[in-house]
Amino acid sequence: MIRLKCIICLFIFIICFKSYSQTIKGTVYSEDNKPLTASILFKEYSNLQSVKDFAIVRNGIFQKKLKQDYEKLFIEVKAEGYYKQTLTIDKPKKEKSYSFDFVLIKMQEYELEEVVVVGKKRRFEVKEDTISFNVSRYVDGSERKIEEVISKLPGVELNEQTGEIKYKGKSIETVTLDGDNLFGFNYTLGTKNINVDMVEQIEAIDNYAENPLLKGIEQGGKVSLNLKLKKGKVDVSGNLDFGSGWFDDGDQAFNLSSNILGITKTYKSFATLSYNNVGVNQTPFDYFGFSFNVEQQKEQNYFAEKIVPETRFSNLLEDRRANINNQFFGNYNAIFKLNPKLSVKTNLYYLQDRISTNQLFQNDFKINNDFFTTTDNTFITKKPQQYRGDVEVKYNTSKTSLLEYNLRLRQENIETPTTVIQNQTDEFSSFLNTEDFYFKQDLLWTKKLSDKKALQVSLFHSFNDLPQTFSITPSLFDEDALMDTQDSEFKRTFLEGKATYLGSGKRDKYTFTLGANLNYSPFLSRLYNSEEIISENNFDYTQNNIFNTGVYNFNRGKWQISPSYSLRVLNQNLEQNLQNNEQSQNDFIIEPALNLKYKLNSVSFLSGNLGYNQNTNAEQFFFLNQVLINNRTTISNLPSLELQISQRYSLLYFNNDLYNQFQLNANVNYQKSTGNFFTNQNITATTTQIEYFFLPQDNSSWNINMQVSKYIPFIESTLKLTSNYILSNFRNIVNNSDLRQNENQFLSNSFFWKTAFEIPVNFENTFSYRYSNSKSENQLAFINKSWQNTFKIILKPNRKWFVILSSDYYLPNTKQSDEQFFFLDATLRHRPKSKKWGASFTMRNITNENNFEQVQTSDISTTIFRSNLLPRYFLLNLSWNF
Amino acid sequence: MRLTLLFIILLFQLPLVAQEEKDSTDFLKVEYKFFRKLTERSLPINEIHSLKNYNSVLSIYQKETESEYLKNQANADSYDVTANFGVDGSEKIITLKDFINDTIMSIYPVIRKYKKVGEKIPEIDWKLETETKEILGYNCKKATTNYRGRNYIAYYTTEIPFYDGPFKFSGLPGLILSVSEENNKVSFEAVYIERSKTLNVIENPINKEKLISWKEYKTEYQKAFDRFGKFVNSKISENNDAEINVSFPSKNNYPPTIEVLEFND
Repeated sequence: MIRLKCIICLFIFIICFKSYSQTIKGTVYSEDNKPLTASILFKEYSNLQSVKDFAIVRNGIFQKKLKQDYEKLFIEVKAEGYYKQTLTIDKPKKEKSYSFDFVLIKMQEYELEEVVVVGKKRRFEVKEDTISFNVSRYVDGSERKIEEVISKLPGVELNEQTGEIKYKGKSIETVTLDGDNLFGFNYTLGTKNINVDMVEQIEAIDNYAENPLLKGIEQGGKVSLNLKLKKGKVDVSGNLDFGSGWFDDGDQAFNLSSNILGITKTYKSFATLSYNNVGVNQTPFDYFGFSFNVEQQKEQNYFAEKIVPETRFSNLLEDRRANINNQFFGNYNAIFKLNPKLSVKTNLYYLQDRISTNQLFQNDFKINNDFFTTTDNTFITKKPQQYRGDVEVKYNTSKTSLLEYNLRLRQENIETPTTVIQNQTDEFSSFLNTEDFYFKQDLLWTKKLSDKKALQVSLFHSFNDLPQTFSITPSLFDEDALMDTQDSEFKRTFLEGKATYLGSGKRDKYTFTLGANLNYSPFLSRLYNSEEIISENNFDYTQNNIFNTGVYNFNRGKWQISPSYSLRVLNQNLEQNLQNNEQSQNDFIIEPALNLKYKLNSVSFLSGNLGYNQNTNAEQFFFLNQVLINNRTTISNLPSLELQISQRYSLLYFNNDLYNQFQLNANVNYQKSTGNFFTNQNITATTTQIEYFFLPQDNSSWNINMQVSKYIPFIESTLKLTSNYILSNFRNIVNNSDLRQNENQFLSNSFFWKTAFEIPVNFENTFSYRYSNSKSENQLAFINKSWQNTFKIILKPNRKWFVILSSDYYLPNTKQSDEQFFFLDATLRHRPKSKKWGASFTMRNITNENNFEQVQTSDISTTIFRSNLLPRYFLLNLSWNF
Repeated sequence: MRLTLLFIILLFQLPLVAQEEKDSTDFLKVEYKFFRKLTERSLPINEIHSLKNYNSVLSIYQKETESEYLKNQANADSYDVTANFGVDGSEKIITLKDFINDTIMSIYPVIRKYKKVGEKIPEIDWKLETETKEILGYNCKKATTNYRGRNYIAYYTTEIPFYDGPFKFSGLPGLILSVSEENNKVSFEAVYIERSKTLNVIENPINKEKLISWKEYKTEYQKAFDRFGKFVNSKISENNDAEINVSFPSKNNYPPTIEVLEFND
């Protein structure tokens, strides 16, 4: 009810003479003397529809300098739940300041109801778990491949050797193109080839889920990168790079490549074609060092063993100096979205290479007080060829279920003709032919049971056939024979069926799996010559597992605790067909593990892992009789189905404080395994016989890593210190010794300094020091110290021109300072404004070093390894983007 | 019987009424769809923000992690409801307005750190227009302004007597339900409104914070990105094939912000 006496507005009218502009100020209170929040509207009396000025009253007080002129000023005071008040001033004087105290009267019946208004449905997308990097901020037009930008991103590390990318310390799952996973684990296809100019943005995705149905349900922590492509008017873009020049010896040098990216609504493809003979590896496969890429590491369990190894030494130098290649590579990846429910992905590969190298090994042995030296001067030509095709079909059978089928077929042939001069006197010619047929298919059905629960059922089948023929002439075993031939063939069939139940609570996640698998790996080998059969093997190995695994992920505040277990019933059977001997073993295995993570603050965490495992032995330890693997070495085994028990402990500290430009990660790993195959070696000046035998004894190793980097504004430079220490203990028998305890220590330190001056010249220096010490009990240690320094001058007079001069100095053995190596390289790049094309001129190995040497130590010897290098060359490169 | 019932009702109501008289707070919550794409090359950002206004004394504007609006959306899955405003989730408040002391605290991410800036609630020079538009059933009037380097069009309603708005916007004679930059590089659009009385007394956290001034923030921002740019350029080795180049951030080439930072280099 409105009380009459309150209808009258109560205000006191005070005119302030001191001020000379038209200011209106005052207070607004309720009757019971409470300061109110209100709005005051100022209108022209003749036009009350339009508000000319307004003031907000906060906590009962207001002040407003009027901007407009008024004939007759109409003031309206409104507050929620109170009656409106009005007031008019005739011809308000400009110089005057008016002050009013309003007292508003409460509406008696006023009561606020709860009001809820919800907007209409409208779709929009929010990028979840994503951090985006604007490519333009990292690029000034001189980087060419997206990999080079990726390596600069904060929190991202790139392994230049393997192309592996880590984000926040974790290896990424894939690199997607506009969200489509075209490359899978072989994402280096994309990162090594896609031009910067094709990409708009790079997104780092924190909780990557390949399967959209499992988003938020799957165990988190997977990371990936997404390349957001530029939206052009044309559906096809790409680049052509043409590089040509001459080597010092007059041969022509080539580096040619072209990439095509095609995108329509229903189709996305990336194709690359390249050829080079300047040591560049454009492929995800490594036929020079034979290190496994991420995909191969994941599938290692399905591969048959390669009994005659393809390579003998890893190179300390970057591959591009020593990889004397002739590589042709073609690759096509495409996704076809046939309809909203069905998509087909295909990846086709063809690779052909010819790598030639001259390697000299000098081993200075010291065994049981026996001193002798062996040398092998090898001329190797490795000719790999690979055909591969992958097909992936994804079919959304309903909104909550997805059926996926994957098929892979691969045929790889590697021919390796080799000439060896052994101990500077005996010459051997050998030929290794390795064929590798690999077939893999799997079917995966995912059903989302609810928002928080899902079920997956999968069937997996793989088959790998790996026949090898190694022949060597003259014969090592019989003077009358022309040659020795070692045939061997490993096969592996792997079958697995499993069901996985995944669930997530508000804070926790869990996964339970039940399944069974079968691994059938037969092996055949025969070493023979025209006179005799020297050795034969024929075994069948079968392994069955019925398993149940579980992971639970607790998230409690700063703690993340993930205990996991694996229970399996293991059955192994080894049948030596020639000896008619059968071994078989059943085990019940419990393997627990625990992962802990403690978030110290927003930029750092501490994590610890511990685990206990019981492993079966690799099939390569299951043949009895000798197999010849090179001009010196034969290997044989005393097979055993005993299990190896291993324990591992690790601790990691990770700090990535980008605001202070400080990064530190340190980790300590300890691993101890009980029950190992130890070697019994018999080494002479011309032969090495290795027999592997199983003993329930320990091997152990410590691995300590640290990397710290900090940008120091005072010197406008980033300093980075990387340190790695490995200590391993193992046992062996050499030349009829007792079982000896050996210790290897390896320490490497590197110190990196790079400037970021705002002048056209910048510098970079890396100093690395390596120390290795190998020692057997009661013997003197083999010690080697080496160091290396790389210095670069980077000149950038303007945005169009760029020069880099780089020098590399190596001292492989500090005790032999006359053996040293010095490399000089230079590149000039020009990039015109249009960005459509670019040109560069490169000179490598200007000092024309022909060879490189490095030293390794083991418990019985020091090995000096010398290899030839790509000679001096220059290359003129033109690139064109379309 | 009736008397008893009445007595019971009274018994239960009395304390409530008494309390309401004493401490009750007018509470307003508005959820806004937030969109940002400041340059052609930047990624679009879509989030749900909420404005919580307590008695017009204090208002908190933050990234919403438990959006009411999204509860009714079929495609709620595709929304970002993680607490990470900025990058690492340590902060979600965007602005906090203290109308009593005429102070606004804003939290800005600067390379995964947060800077808390304190200043007077900006006196935005709104120009009132006659155009109207209906948002969520409320009649809204148009107002325009230029605020820190960008031109905005806002719609406010006088039907809800809170003189507040999203982000740093306020000072119109009503509640601001929509603000968009003239080229739609930034926009805030109300999608959900809730009004109630609450007994909760909200404490003003501003007093506990160490705040820096807007000017200090600008200097800090510039310095931080200068250092960061140089770090990015000096953190990894140059590729020998010269396919990597050093790229210095050119002066003033910092990530764009909603409030345009003008540096007097």
